[in-house]
Amino acid sequence: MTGKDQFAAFCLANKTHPDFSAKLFDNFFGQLTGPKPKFIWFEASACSGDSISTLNAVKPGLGQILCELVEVRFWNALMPAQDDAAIQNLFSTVEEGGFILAVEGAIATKSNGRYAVPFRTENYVYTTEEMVRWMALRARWVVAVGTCAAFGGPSAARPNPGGCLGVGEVVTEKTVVNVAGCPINPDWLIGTLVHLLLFGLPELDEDNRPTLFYGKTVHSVCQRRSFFDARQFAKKLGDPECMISLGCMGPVTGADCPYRLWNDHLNWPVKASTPCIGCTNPGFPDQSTPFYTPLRIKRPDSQPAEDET
Amino acid sequence: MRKITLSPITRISGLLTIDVFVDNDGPICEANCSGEQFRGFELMMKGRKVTDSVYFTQRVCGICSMAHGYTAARLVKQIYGTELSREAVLLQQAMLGAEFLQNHIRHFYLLVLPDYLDSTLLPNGTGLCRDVRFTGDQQRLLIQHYYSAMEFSRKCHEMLAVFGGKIPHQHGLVAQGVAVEPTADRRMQFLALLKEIREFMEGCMMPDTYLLAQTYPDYFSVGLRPHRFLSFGLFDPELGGHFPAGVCDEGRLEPVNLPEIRESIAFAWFRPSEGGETIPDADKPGAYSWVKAPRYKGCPYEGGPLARKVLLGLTVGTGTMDRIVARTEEAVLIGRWIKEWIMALPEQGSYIVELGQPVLGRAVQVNDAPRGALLHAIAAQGEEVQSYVIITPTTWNFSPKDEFDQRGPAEEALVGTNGREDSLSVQVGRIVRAFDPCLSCGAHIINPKGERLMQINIQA
Repeated sequence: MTGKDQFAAFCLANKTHPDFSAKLFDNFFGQLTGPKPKFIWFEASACSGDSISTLNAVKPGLGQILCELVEVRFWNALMPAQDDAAIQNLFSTVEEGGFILAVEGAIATKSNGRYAVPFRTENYVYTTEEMVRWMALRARWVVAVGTCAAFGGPSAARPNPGGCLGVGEVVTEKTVVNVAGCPINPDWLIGTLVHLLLFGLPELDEDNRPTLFYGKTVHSVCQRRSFFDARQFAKKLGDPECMISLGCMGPVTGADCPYRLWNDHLNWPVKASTPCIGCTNPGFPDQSTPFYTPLRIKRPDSQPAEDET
Repeated sequence: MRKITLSPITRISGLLTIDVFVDNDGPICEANCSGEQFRGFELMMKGRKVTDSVYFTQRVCGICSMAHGYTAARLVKQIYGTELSREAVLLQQAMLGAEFLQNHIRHFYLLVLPDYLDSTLLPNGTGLCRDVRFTGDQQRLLIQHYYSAMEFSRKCHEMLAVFGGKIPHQHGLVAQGVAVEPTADRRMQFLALLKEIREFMEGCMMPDTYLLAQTYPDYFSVGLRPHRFLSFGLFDPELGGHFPAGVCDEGRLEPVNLPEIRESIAFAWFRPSEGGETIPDADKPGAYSWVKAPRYKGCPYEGGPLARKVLLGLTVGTGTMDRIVARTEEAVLIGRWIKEWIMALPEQGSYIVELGQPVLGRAVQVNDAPRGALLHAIAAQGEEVQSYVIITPTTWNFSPKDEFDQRGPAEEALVGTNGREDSLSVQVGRIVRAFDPCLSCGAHIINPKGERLMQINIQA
């Protein structure tokens, strides 16, 4: 059959389908991936901001993610089931194996993990630490969603009251793909998932973040780079020049925000005349604070982009 | 008496377990709400720069980050003695308002509504709710709107990002004002998004809410509790649409007097240290939650959309459906106000100022977040934070019992609920979700000694 005939046959076969576009996505995408992968979103010590940011995804939107991309077996923030039924979904999926495990939040280790209890039964208190260790063993892929899950992040900010660790510090048996960000840009997570499904593990940097999204520094592709090169610096928030003077972390932060943009790709912190605070870094937030203090003062060891000029 | 553990309570923010106690098939005679996570933001703020609090405390909560950022920005402003122009405050309010719309649309459609639908029709839904009363046509329409809500709620965040740069955890709203000037093109972008969202709220969400209320009228008398409400107020009374601050005790309205607030740790996993600080203790006997128990004049108070409605002077009940209806009505109202605020912006204005030097060592700011009353208080030495206190709405609504065995508001609402064992889980889910629990918010409150806030609060 020619491409044209194939397309005509496809249209004919789907004539009565109420949501034509969804079917198209399902068919063409489904051919490459087989059945929808089972997906567990597990919330540990977090603010739910990565869940909310994923709800802000546009192409695909949340409806497409839930209906077409993955089969969500557990997602505390959204799943219809609750209570025993929710635990049943989770446990049977883990026993089947072969699922994608997305962990949102850091792993709290203080007091035997009691600082983050995902659920308990009449006679047993589960901790996120033991659950994540167990699930990771049986997962096809483990993805740390957000900077808390990747590196501890704000949940592990000094003095780290909960003894929080990144997922990769707890799960050592397999590669944990770190989709960092506070919160994540939804494109980073969806892009990583699709890469895993279509092509397997993406190329990772030394912090296990996909280079596809984190491979270049914010500074190297910043729209205000010409001001930096001309040594024109902002004096206050809202000014149009380079914000190295206001604590911008762009030179030491790997992320594609300047051209990816946020919230249906309409803005990002520097475009909003405020500095990048380096939220995808392993050292966030402690290495980024005080937020408005210039990099050469708060991190004298760093070389702000001299090699990139 | 038998204990039934309901865990996890899903479709909320954060981790929540509820234990209910029943006699045979009688009503719930006791309930314990357990906040199951603790992070300790107040400890983290110690020693940081005062100005860091605006971005840092947004990380307390992913769904209402703007509310924390807005309150922290006002706190920093107070410490530095800075005044913002009328137009800067209007724009800040519009950004906060957008967060409320996002929260309320998501809460009604994505979190609450599945409790009343045949969940096998929802994506990845399992387990059949036995109490589905909608007709097939009604249900089809509601599920269509469930999907539409995904689109319109993200558009609320897009509104906010026009001036905030990104959201959750926005950048543009700071103590100095708003870093993004509302030029003509940005006003248009913001208003165009708002118009679409308002059409959805007024055309779908409002009728859907009333349909739910008509279909489940018995839920006006499920989840009842004493008529005690608290609001710190929302939006500036001098700038148009706003909700007034106040307390309501069985119909009596009074102004809020902050020194009447104190927190009990009787049933929370904390103990006082010798130095007078409250420190976490996960092994404390008898305790059952990471949430502390704030009390006003010694009593538990409920916050949120229903409280704000009551404090407008309207007479309403205290049932589950009252909470749900109030939230939707409020969203529609705020949508109208936001438009008025943007239209009231002058052509030229001052949106950002410089902070200068700190003029105060202590400050407290209160205002309402989507779920209820939010307080940030700070003690600073120069530009360095010495102590930072946050009392979030969920600590009020989901507080455990206090030293006098008084239940928290959600616990009060659960006690007395009838339900055979097979429907108990559904009942409890419906009652609890109407409060819009957020345990990532609720669970990190450290208040020196749990004593009167008078110590911190020299301004109010």
